[in-house]
Amino acid sequence: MEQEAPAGWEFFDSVDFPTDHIDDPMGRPRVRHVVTAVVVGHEGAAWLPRLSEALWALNPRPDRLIAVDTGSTDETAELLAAMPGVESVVSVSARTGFGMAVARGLEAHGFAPIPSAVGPYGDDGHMPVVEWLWLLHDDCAPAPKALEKLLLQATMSPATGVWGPKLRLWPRDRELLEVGVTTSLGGRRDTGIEIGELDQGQHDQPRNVLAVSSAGMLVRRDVWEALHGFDPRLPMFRDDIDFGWRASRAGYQVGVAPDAVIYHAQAAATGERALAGTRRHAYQLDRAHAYYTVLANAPGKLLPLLILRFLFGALLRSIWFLIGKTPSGAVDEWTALLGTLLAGGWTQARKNRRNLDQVPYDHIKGLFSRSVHALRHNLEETTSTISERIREAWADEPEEQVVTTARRAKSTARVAGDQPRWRRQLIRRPFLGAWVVLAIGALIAARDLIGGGFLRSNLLLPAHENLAALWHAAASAPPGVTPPAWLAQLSAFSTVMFGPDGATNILLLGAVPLAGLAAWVMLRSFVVDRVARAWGASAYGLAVFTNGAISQGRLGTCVAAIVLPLLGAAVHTVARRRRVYVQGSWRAAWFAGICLAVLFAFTPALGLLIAVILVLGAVFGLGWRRQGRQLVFSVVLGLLLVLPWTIDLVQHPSKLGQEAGGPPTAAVGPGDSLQHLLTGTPVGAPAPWWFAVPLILVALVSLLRESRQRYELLGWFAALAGLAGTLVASRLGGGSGPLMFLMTAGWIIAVTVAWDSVGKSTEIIVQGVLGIVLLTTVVTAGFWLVRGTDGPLWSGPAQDLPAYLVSSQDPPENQSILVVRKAPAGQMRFALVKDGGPRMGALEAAPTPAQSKPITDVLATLGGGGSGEEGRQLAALAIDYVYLPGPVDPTLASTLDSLPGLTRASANDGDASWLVDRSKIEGKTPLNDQTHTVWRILGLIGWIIALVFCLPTVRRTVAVPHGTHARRDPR
Amino acid sequence: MSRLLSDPRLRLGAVIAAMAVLAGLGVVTHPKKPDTSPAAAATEPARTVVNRTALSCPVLAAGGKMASVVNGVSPTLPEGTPTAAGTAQPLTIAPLAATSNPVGSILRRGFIGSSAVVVKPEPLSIQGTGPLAAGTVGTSTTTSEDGVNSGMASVPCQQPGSDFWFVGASGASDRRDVLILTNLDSINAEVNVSVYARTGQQDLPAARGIVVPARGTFPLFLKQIAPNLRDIAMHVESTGGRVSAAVRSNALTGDSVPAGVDWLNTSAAPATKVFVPAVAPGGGLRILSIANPTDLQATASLSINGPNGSFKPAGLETVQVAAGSVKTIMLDPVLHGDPSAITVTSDQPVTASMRMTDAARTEFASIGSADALTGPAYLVLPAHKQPAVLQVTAPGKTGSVKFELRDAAGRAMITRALDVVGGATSQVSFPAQPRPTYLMVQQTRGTVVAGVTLMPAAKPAKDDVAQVAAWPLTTSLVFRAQLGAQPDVSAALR
Repeated sequence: MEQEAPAGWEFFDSVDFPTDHIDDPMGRPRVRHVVTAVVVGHEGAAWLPRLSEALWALNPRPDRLIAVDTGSTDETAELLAAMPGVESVVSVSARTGFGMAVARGLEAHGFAPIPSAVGPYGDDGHMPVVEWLWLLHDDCAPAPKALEKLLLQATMSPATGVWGPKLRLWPRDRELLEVGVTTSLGGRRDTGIEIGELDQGQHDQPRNVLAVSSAGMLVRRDVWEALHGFDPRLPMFRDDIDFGWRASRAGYQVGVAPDAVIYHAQAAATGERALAGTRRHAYQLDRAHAYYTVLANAPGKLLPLLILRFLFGALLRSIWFLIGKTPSGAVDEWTALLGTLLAGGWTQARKNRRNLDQVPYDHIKGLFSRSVHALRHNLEETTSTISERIREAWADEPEEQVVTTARRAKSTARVAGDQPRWRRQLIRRPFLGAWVVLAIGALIAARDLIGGGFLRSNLLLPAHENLAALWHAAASAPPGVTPPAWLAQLSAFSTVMFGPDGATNILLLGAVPLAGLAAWVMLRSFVVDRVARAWGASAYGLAVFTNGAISQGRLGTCVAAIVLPLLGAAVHTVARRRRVYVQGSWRAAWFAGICLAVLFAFTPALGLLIAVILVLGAVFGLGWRRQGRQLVFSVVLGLLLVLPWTIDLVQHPSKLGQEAGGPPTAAVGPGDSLQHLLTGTPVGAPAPWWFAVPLILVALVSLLRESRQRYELLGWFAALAGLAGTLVASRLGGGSGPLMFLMTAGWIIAVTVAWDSVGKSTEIIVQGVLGIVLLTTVVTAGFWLVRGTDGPLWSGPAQDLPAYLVSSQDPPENQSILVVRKAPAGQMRFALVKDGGPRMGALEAAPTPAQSKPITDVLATLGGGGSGEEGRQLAALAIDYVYLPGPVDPTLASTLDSLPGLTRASANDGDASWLVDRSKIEGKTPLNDQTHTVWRILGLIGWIIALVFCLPTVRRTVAVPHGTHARRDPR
Repeated sequence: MSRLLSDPRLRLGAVIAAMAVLAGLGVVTHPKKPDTSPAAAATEPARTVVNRTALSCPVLAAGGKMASVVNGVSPTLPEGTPTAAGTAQPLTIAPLAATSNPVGSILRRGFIGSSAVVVKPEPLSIQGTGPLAAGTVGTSTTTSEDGVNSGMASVPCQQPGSDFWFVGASGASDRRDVLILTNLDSINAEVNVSVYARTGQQDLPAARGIVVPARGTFPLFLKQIAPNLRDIAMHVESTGGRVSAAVRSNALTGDSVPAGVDWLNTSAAPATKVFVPAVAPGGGLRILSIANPTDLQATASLSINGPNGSFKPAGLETVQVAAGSVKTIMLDPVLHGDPSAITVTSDQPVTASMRMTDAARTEFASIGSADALTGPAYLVLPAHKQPAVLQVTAPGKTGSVKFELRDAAGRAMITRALDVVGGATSQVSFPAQPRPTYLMVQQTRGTVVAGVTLMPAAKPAKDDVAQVAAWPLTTSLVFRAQLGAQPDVSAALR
């Protein structure tokens, strides 16, 4: 009986050969186990030698080994026949399911005969005999003691009729695959093991489970026969769960013996072997079988709820498939559900299984996995799918990928291996360190601004109180006024980013690290040197600060700085020349369109400039070919996505000179100063203009190099375009903050590309020049940390009115307050404050002078001394308070004091306030907003379409159970 | 192109040239001032024609046999004055109560409307809206032959306001002065009165927080709140609502014989240069009161604008007025009975008034300091038996005025232009009129103040009751100034 193990037998963990019968350590009488093993093979030539070796090493061996070949085209049949002590191979058709193949094998050869009582070990006649069926796949390899441990457990707990081993990854990995398996009532197969979980003995308790995988499943013969084997309706998925479930219902316990280890190659699950055996989509089959299993076995009282749950789940999943541009997935989902529900034969199955029920459902309830686990798994799977697809989306041509990988390998090769781990990481990923510094620096630079209320400056109105207010404001404006498009986009962003205030904080205060990150994403596509890339990204982030966008509270430039590199990356993906047949990428074009829409909304001038450049570049540079058409498409898409705003921009070209925030931003620019114009630093920026000079000089020097000039020229082109745009904008009386930012960005690209090419040079001049660049950035960063909070940006309450006036604007009072500001010998300026006061977008969506004329008239008369009627007129305009912020004009104050119908109310120190008597007059406010519902719905549809098209395609992922036996599609 | 750019020197040159060209453009062009104002409001008119008027016409208290009348007119306006929108509705002369019946009305522009002459007067108002409102003036006149109200008491009807000054009142026993506050609105008004006397500012709680009922009057008896205080100046301020204020003054001689009645005309708000116009010619007392409401001592210098020019009275070149106090100066010795005006120049804002009696000191009138005319000033003159004298003063350089006197039916009786030598006071005498007339004085050049005085005849008949009156000429409310107002969302934020 002792046979020589084959040579090369060293890949098992523990190689100790059993020498005796299975002894029960508890001292119970011995049991004689008679095991019939069935191996089902299908195209398994790659794995069968290992199984063969494992069977050689196995001790004890099964008493009979039956091999079934399901129509393999390779040498599976020969290899099966060569297994130790195998019966003649049974051949069945390729479409036979696993359970059917086992049944055919048993039909052909029968169970192992019970050996005679007198054997080599003496008289065993008094020992009870238990017969077992052991199911094996062709891509698994039992450890030498697997069968022994299984039988040991079977001896110890005789009540258990089905045993399963611990499945680990082929060939000798410690990665766990399964220790028993269960299902949620939603139909989800759940092993309770995380992806990539290592076997550290954490699951090594023998326990009862709902089911075990068919790979290595040990079934008592009476159980197998009582349950009639696997359900023939389930040829592939869920057959094991259904079997286990049935066994549990019938009162045969299902146990897992973790001491028994079987290595499994998961050939079908990992795609090494084609999944076949059916014409239907594997995904559809998986879903259908899941539904069938649950419907056939679940207790009747739960059925209505379960069907509802299936419908809901199918709805969610089909939406996910529609978003992921895989409508056939949704079709699969519904055909699986409806097909199973209406014609799945589950009613017949229930009828057949009615007599099984020995154990009430409540007793086996604990074996099922909880729905929350399923939910968590779904979430994990979804996020990993998304990240994986997004990663794939931008790297979809292999030959370039190879080049990049090789270059990357070269650039990391010089990292010394003896460095400590963190330092090695830092050298390998310099941007990670730089980004952490930027993120911490952002916190330091915003030390006075975090958490003190709403961010405000003369260029930034406070954010809305809550999401609902922002959502309302995004589509509401006085008649004839278009609400700014950026409000809608900000409200979408706020939905995921802690409300309007949180979103503003993140975009403004986090602009430096976010812009740096975005720049890094873009630079990754054409800059190889990691240090150069890290420098470029950090310098780009800091450019947001030197531009003054943060300290002045210019939300538009901050957003543009974050979006610009993403647009650049998308355009790069579309426009680069590749060695593949299909040029360009529609998905990137959709994404570029979205980026352009954001630019059009937040910084119309920059958006226009880039759109013109893209269209001209598409027509003249790329020709009217696929790539050019994609670029033009993205411009058109960007214009369409912000639609009512586009019309507004055409009608009022002066709005091009503004950015998100409103008219005062038109004053941001180079002013009269030539040096500010040429260095791309707006007047009033926190950093002096000469901070940019080293960068410009190095960018000029970089033009002298010979190689890779295309990107440098592009950088210079961006800088010159920004300069020209700034010139035009400032000469036409518009703001040019974002355009000047484009100049800086262009220089940074030029320098980064140059650095990428010469970074490894040891020439002292090159190193010196790079040192200057680095030093400038470090000095700028220090300046940023120290002076970060100096700007006009401050953090404070959303309104400067007394608290009672602020709260009086809320329902149910809904009062409105007329705030009048009068400089000595100046005009009066007024604002009607209601519904939370002036918030973001209020400047753009301000009522027209004609609409506020009733108030203007009353105030004009009051300014001239008044006629005594103004109290009634104010009440008729539904104005509840008149508020004069300090310094109060004494003439106006005394006029208001003596105005009938006005009484003094309390006010902040130095201010003055009057209550308007509205008890007699039911007023009507002259300023009413109009909600543009049609535009809002159209915009929502457009954005959803655009987002769906720029997202990667979702694939139907079939959670192929490890035990699934692969089949070839017979077509 | 790309072949050209492959040469590094050309590349560098092209980029530098492009920057230089753009920089050059930046030098030769100039940035346009960005329009950061909120959507520029349509240019508002700086003034609008008044389309609503409310005048309060006070009346004397009962006493003796009185004849009281209110004459009002919506005067003929200068050529080219726009008309307010709406149809012409008559202005009513009515008692204050909302339910009362009108006692008279002004039906057409240019025609004087009068209330019925009554013996038991009640306070009246002239109110109305529409095109007739612009420039409407009225005068409340009471004459009496005997008793405490003997003589003439006449005062222009007053626009409600929030800030009034009165100088020359008294709480002493020889006077019975009452501040009458009238509220024409339908909402109660609240008034604070600050009182300044010879001894400085008075702290009088009773004069603060006075509630003037809606459509009602409130009399404030100076003898009660400020007993035995002479030479009072009062500052009437409304803190809610608008009121009209008038000070009725009944004078007595030492042995409680009535010495005339009249209204104290309002004085202009304190300023460092104030003009007291229309110091009546003739004999009698001329008492100038100067009030200094500040908390610093004021050094005032007087100059008298006589008929031949201005001069500084000997010994009174400078007058010290203590902080918060009122100072009186007898000027009849230096005036010599000439029609004059007084200019007070001070280092602190002061205000002033002039009290004038007839030679027999049986009747008096008072005129407060006045602002220079800036537009047409209208005045309804009641019927008068003696010539009324228009006194026009040009305190600074030579000024000129144009004036018209029209009769009750709007017919021009006298139309003249008058040049006034700088510093001098010119007088124009209007003959006695049995019916009310109205006067228009319009400044055409220089700084001009004016007033009308009425004095008894130099040699009165035996049974004549002396009638002394003085009416200031103030710019009438034809246009209401408007200050531009601009909608600006960011006005609500600091």
